[in-house]
Amino acid sequence: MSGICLVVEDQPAVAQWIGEAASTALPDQRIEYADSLAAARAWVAAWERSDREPLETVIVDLGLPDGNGADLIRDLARDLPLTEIIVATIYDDDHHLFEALAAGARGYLLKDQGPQGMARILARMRNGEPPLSPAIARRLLTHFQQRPPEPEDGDGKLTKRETETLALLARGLTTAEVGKVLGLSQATIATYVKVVYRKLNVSSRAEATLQAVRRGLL
Amino acid sequence: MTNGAMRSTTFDDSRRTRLLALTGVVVTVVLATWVTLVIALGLPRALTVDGRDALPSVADVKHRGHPTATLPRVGDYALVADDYVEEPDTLGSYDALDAFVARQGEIAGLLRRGGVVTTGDGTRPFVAGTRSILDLPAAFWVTLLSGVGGLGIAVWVWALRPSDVATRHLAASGIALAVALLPAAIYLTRPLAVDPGLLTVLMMLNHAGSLAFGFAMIALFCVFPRRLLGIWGPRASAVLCVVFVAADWGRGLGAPHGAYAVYVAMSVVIIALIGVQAWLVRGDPRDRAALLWVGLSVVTGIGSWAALVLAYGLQGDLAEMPEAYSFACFFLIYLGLALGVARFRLFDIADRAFWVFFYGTGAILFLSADGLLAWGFAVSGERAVMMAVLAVAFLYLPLRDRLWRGFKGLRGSDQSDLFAEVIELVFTPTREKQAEAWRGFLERQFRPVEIRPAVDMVGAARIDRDGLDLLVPSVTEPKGLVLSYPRRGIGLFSPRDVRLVDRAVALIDRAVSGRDAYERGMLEERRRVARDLHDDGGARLLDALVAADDRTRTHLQDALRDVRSIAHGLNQDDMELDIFLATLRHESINRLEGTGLTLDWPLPDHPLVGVIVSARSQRALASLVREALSNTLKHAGASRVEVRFDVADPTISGRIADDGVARSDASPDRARTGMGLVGLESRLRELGGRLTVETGSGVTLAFELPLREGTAG
Repeated sequence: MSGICLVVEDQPAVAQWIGEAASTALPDQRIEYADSLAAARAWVAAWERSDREPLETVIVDLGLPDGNGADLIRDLARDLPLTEIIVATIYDDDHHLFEALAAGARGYLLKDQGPQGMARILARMRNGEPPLSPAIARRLLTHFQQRPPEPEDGDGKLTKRETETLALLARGLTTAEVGKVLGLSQATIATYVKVVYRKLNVSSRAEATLQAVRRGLL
Repeated sequence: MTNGAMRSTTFDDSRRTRLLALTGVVVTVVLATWVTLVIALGLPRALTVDGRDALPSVADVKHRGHPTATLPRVGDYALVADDYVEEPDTLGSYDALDAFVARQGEIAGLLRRGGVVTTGDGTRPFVAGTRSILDLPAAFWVTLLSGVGGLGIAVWVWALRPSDVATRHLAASGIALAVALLPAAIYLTRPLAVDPGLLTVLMMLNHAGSLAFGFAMIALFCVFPRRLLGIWGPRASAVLCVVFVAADWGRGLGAPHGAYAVYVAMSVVIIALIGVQAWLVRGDPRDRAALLWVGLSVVTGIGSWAALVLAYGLQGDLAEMPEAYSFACFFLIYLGLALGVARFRLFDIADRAFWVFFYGTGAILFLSADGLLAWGFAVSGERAVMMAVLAVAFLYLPLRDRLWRGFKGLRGSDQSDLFAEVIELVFTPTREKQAEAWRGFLERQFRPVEIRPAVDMVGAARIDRDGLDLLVPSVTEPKGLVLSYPRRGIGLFSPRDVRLVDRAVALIDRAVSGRDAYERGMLEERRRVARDLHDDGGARLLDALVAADDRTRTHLQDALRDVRSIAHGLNQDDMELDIFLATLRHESINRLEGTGLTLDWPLPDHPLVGVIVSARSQRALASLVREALSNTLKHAGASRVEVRFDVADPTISGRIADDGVARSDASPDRARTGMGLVGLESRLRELGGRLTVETGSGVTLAFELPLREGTAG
């Protein structure tokens, strides 16, 4: 065992399903469970005091009994930048997922895909190919189009290729198909998607900071 | 300088310049009025002992129908009808004119000495007198005011823009008009006689002024708005002016009224020049607007005056023409003309042109009503003029006001229309359609030749390029729009148009924020419903899914997909077909992944911009695809499934075909196609579509469906 995968899910049966999928896709990771935000935070606190076997993956359900999983994702993404944070959800639409993605999640699992389906997605993410639904691609495009240009770094804006990739994904194409259209490898497209996720998180964080400064919180 | 230079001349707004100009104008006008009054009031008049007129005046004979058959004698001198002619140059020949002037001298002498007047009723004594200001007839004031009014306006415009060649010609024409009208005011409305020397000078001034006015107009339209004939147009008219004045003064025009032929000819030339100018500026809305404004007033004014002269001249009755009143049309027209030239930016041009047109029409109406009343009802002269004034006041002005309001109504929609259009625009479903509606609105309001996206951000509506362009702030476009050449290119944008756009944009902003608030509320509500579905329904289904066997698992997964669709809001609203198909395709790809079944679902080459699919049709299409894929997955043997959509708005058709082999066991059709398809078929039929199932090598579903209810092709 070279790391830990933490599953934050309140329904035992589903948690077990996710655990099954994780152990299939991530055989080298030990699975841990938490059934609420509080339990997850407590687990992380205890883990931080321990000998710190690397926390490789956290799979978070958004609708937890004691709050929104996005809050946990935000904290984890800030404190543990090396940890892969994945949302487990029944919904892959932008309304439900966007907040979590902006908070720092690098991908999502659809729970109803079953253990095999989820394992497949996890394996693919591990390969560097995060999923991106058309609704989210569309939302990302609008998000980056509406942002004011930031001259100091390129992180606030998408490159032409990244925008093209999102536009094609928004039309329902798979990463492989996007690669074919753009004449690029699927791996390159997957990299673009990963970069877009990162830029979303960075820009969201920058925005949150800016707003906090404006409100006098910082 | 051409008109182009005229426009580029800075219009000096400084108070000092204006004050100086105003002082100059007032001094000029007061001086001219004062001199005219002094001369007019100095004319001799015969008074009875009780202070009334001992003799009929020119106005009595001309306008009040005093008979010329029984004219009295002044001492030994018997007055003749010709002594009462209003405009002496209408006497047929130079001999007649000379005789008239000589008699005028004789009469003036008699009036100054006093004596007796002999009428059919007997002989009465009279004393020499003069008129007071109150005795001056209306015709005097009309002529005087037309003259000094034109003079004042022309000099005022010129004083404000002295370096402009067009305003110089305009000023020259105004001065010429005064030189023509002020002497005419004196002798046309004389009590009876004017001293010969004075009379000769006044008549010479009148002719010279009239000729100069016409040639100044010709010079004006040689340079305004475009320069014709180089510098030779104005020069030639100046030379011709001198030649004709010399010919007139030297009696070289054949008869005293020879000048009238020149006036009419000049009118024709002026109108022709305006025609040429109109042709030259046809491609330039700015110049065209300026010409519309100036040309309209001149054509109306000079045209109606020339028509009047022609009408009386052709009747051989030039002396009968109500000369003094006909000048009024000059002045009214002059007012409009001066305003037009004075405008640096002709923003409200269409409105003002309309205004001039109506006042020009008013002047014509004034004259025609005068003529109609005089001829038709044989009312005496002065009363006919009064009736015409009353007719103008009580009939024309209200009519004009109504027409004016009607005109304004034609130009722009009223508030309620605006509101209706804005609401419709704001609630138009797609951005493309909104953009289309917004352009349509602007198109209907302004009829511009061109609408294009703005290059630079437009912050607020404003006019550019002197009224050629209207910049419209961003409503549906990222930076706003530029409208060019309004009213199909015959007008310019005016501040009124800016206000209209401002109002529309403000209304749109308010409507959008209202709509957004409503949508935020709706989204909030939808999120709550979705959360409930997620927490309760979704979780329970997921629980069941975890425990389910393979058969029920598919059903539960379909159920979860439906829940997801509902939670997405995917099936709740009309939405763009592209987005809907993208989501459906993505879902299908995810579903078939790892099943060994290849999905062949090409996307259309081009995005289907603005094609809307209703919520009911979305649900039908999604169920169709899910059911078809479920069937193909369940009844294995297939390696490939093909999905094709063919959109011909408002209809979507297509087929879903797999390459499974039909099983040979009992009731293959039922088994292969599944019960679900029967329900789907009736569902599509209800929506006005159809579904056919073919089984051969594999199963092929062919379908056709209206994209929206009530739009079946």
